[in-house]
Amino acid sequence: MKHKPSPMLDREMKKGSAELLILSLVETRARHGYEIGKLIEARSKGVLKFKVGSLYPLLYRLEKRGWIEGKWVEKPGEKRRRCYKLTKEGKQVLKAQRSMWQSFVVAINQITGLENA
Amino acid sequence: MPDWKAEVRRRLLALQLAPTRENAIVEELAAHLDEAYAELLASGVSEADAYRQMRAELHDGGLLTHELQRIERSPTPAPLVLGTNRRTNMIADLRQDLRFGARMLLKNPGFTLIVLLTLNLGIGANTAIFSVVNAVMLRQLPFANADRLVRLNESNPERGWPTFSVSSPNFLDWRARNQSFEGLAATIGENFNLNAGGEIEVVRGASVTTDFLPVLGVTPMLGRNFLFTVMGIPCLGLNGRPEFKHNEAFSFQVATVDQAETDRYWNAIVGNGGAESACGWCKDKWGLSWQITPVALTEAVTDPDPAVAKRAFEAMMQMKKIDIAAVKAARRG
Repeated sequence: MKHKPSPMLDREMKKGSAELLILSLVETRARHGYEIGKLIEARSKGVLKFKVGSLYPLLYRLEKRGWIEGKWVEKPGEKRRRCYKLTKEGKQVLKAQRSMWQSFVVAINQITGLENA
Repeated sequence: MPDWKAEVRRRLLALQLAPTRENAIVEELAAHLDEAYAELLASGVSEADAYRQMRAELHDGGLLTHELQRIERSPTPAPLVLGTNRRTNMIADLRQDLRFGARMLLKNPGFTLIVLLTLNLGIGANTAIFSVVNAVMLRQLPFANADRLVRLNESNPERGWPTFSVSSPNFLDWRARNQSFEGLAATIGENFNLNAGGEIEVVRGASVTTDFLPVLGVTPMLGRNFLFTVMGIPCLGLNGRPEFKHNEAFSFQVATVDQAETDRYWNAIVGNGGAESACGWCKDKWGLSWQITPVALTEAVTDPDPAVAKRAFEAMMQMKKIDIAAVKAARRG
């Protein structure tokens, strides 16, 4: 019998990593919400998926904290989209979160890996 | 294509966001849903299924509304930083308001003119009214006990005269029988002709009773009050007007011991705008008569020997200032 992870664990893990994911995706260039959602889904090969109801509130929260900055961008022949890019403050937050996440993953791996080995 | 804007807007209604913020979210989310919907259709999903799927994602147990409520409506404590633009930052808002106001005024010169004129009139009228209120009601008279000063008038209701000036005899009676006031003084405004080096000018002044300044509690900035002393004797000076002049009916007599003292008095009186008369008499600059009389003269003219006294008297009659040596010579014969 195959065990499914509990929905609560799933949600909490997503929540804990969501900020880091979004900050990472807008690090090199500005992206709009749909693009960010698509990238998360594609790069995680469908494991992580953000719905409208969670993605945008998250973007707004990060923007309110001043870590990302949204700007309306108009391209000829297209609807205007709001594109988000990392701010100076966001860059420092990303750096800190990234190293924290890495040490966290290492620690988790050390525990879970030992048990599995 | 479904109207995603309406779908999103319906879910934001309860949040009561600012209209611009609401429109921005609606536009952003609708664009997302449009794109996702189009993609589903492109991948071969039927319109009805795609619509249902997207609606389900949008609904998602009310997650969107719930999350947005937490974020959009949570007040962020904004630090008070000059020049930043936060909703709760009063200073920043003020700057923006001022800039907006200035731009609007520049844009509508006619309106600006009316505003300026209205402000001008308002400020001018207020200032004028305040000046009057200040002078009449707020600022005290420049006297020591201004609250104890009263102005007395006569009145005659039977004749229909509510107030009129006090007559001189009445004033004198009031002052003589006064028991209510520390002092009573009278004044009447008058014009005077001032002759200053040939230039004649009309000067506004007042005739006042002698105790006028003491009653008000003020001392003259220049000169003296009506009260003065002559050789230690307190005197009262009155303005006698042109019709009352000084004459020789009254004089100060000063007995001097020697010629030096005689000269000193004489020169002080005559040399300061006065005039020599005769027989040791002179007038000071106010026309008051003085007799500068050496003791030697008095003794000579009252000599028990009538012949000696006569000689001294005749010598005196030739003199203006008394010359003691000449008097003594005449006495010797």
